[in-house]
Amino acid sequence: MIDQSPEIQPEIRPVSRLNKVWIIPMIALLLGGWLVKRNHDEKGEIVTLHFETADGLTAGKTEVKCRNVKVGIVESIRLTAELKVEVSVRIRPDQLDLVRKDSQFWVEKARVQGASISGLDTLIKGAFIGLDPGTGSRGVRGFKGLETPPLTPASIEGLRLILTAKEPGSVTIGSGIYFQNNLIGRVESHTFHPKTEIVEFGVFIKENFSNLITTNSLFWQNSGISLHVGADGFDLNLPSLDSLVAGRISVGVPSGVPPGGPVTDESLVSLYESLEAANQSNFMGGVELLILIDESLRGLSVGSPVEYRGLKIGRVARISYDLVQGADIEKIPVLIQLDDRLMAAHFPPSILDEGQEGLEKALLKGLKASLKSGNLLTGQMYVDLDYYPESPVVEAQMEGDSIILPTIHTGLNGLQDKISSLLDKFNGMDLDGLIAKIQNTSDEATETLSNINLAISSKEGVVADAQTTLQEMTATMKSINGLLEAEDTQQIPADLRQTLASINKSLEPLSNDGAIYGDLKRTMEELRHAVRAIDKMANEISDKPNALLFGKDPSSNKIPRARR
Amino acid sequence: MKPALDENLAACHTCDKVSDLSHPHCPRCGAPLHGRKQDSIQRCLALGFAGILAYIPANLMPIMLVTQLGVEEPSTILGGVATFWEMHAYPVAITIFIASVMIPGLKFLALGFLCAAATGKITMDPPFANRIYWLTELVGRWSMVDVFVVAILVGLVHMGDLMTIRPGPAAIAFGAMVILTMLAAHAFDPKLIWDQIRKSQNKPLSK
Repeated sequence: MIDQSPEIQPEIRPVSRLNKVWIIPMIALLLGGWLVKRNHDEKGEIVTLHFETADGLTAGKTEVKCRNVKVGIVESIRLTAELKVEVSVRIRPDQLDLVRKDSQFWVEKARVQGASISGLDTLIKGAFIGLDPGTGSRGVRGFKGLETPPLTPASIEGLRLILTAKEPGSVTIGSGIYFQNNLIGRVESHTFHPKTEIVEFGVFIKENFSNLITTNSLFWQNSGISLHVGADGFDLNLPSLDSLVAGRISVGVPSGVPPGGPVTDESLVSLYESLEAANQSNFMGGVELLILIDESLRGLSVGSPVEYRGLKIGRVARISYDLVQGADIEKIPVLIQLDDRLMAAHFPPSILDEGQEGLEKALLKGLKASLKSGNLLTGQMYVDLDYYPESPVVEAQMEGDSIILPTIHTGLNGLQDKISSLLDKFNGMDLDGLIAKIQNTSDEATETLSNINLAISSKEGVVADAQTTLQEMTATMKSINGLLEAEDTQQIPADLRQTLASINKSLEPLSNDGAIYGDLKRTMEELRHAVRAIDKMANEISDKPNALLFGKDPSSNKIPRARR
Repeated sequence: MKPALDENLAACHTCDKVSDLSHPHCPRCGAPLHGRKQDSIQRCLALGFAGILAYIPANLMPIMLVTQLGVEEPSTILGGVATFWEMHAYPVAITIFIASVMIPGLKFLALGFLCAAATGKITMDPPFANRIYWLTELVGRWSMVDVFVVAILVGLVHMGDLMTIRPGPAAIAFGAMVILTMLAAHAFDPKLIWDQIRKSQNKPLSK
């Protein structure tokens, strides 16, 4: 036990009425007030969005995200009297600056577009409302939501163009825009105008590539497999797998064309079905010349190139007898058109400025047109212009408005002509007659000599020496005759003939009904068949790219057309 | 029978040894010796009031933040009750409601009545008041069930991006509320009720 300490008198102090314990509720009150204030500050403002459907949206759960950063939350969803969905969204106060007049809102959910699949994470996380900040004035609190997300937010710098096309092909939203096989942009929107039957594609070009696009740039589709056979040879185009599925647009400036100036935003540009179509359309009409061709035009068609010593300067514009009044049936008029732009690219302006006079001068120098084979395999032809100073100069002739350009056979065609005319000359020579004449002449000479012999022998005694001399001469003549009559000598013309015949024979396979020609022709025919089959397949695949995988649909041989 | 106070005797709050009040400290354990708990009513009221203040955010703010596949979903106590009710899990809903909403509320009421009775504002049958006090003290520690559930869930559900549970601000408020009410109940001295009755009868209980 503790020892009993002496009693200590406690000191008594008056107790204050309020106990220190009241600090605790005070602290609680302060904390509560701070919480309320913070909560209020974080609430932000309500922004109203209108959508067609509330698919995937949940009140109090769906988030509003800008570049995948949460900036707000859906507070309520209700249906208006017009059956539109009104979504009230609470945007955090520190992010309210993002909401401007041209801000865009859309529902981000999983989408499959062409070859690209986006928003897969929303499948498990749930949809969210995407917000693309605008640049306009602030304070707007009502928006119309987009049904499809903008592929590239408007706030991202770049070039936006509208491509117009008659035929969309396999180009869809998400199709890439390629410049020399480099992806530089994408198709963002696809609008079909039923009245004009024109498709409009909204296209976005990334900013660092936007100066690749100029006023002279051409856009063309290169979707699907394409095989082109022309004077330039075969051109098989196999694009990458994703463009087979999703289509693909190429852009470029045709060779020989100046790049042109910069393009402004939102400008309308044509989208061509193919590179060829783009090049055709790019044609800048210029001087028109008429040529009259007196040989087969097989392999020459409208659009075939016109070249000057290998430089492409124009194309065949028309082939028709109507071009010339009272046309000679043997000479087919062909109208060729020179491309001003290509001309300007190849020739200095001093030449081009001379115009018609310059052309007449050129004709005097021997400028002529000729058909040349561009491709031995396919038989495609092109028109070649060149100077032939040795050939006879032809004065310029006019037919209507266009100058008639003289033609000449050159190249393989010309060679063929020359060989056949040479052979004709050989064939036409009367060698048998010649040899007969020589024989006749020698026979006559023998006769004359024997007559002289007789005359001399009749003058008796006179000049026996002379007689012997003459006899000797006769003997000599006889030996000459014998020489002439000898088989070897006789054989010479026959040998000549034989040689010619063998030349003829060796040339025979080259002629129209010869073996080599026939073989070549057959091979060519087979090649053409093959090409036609490939072309058909290419068309099929171009029309229906999935035919490669799923085969041809037997019931859909014809492409259905909309009722007009 | 007369109260110990009249005999100048008091039980130690710590070791329950009955000593003479002339000792300022318990002769056995050295704790301060009081006849009644000091400032009992004021302490009880202050702590109870702080508890009520904590009770508001505990019910309004989310107690649990469930992050499921990147989407954070806050849930409040009442929201949870409503969810279970909608899911037709009535027993669970009722249990949560009673344990987390009703009992704390009733505790505030009980403490209020007891304080009123101890100061003579209202008259209350002492055995009944005692029973209420006993219940309040008993139930106090069980009110932490909610906080325990949250603590266990937070510890268990940690599956990275798949699902994560974090305690919400209400969990702290709720815990504070429970502690404050327990302290308030502890601060209350039930002997005051008897003192009050004796005072109202205006006669010493001792004979």
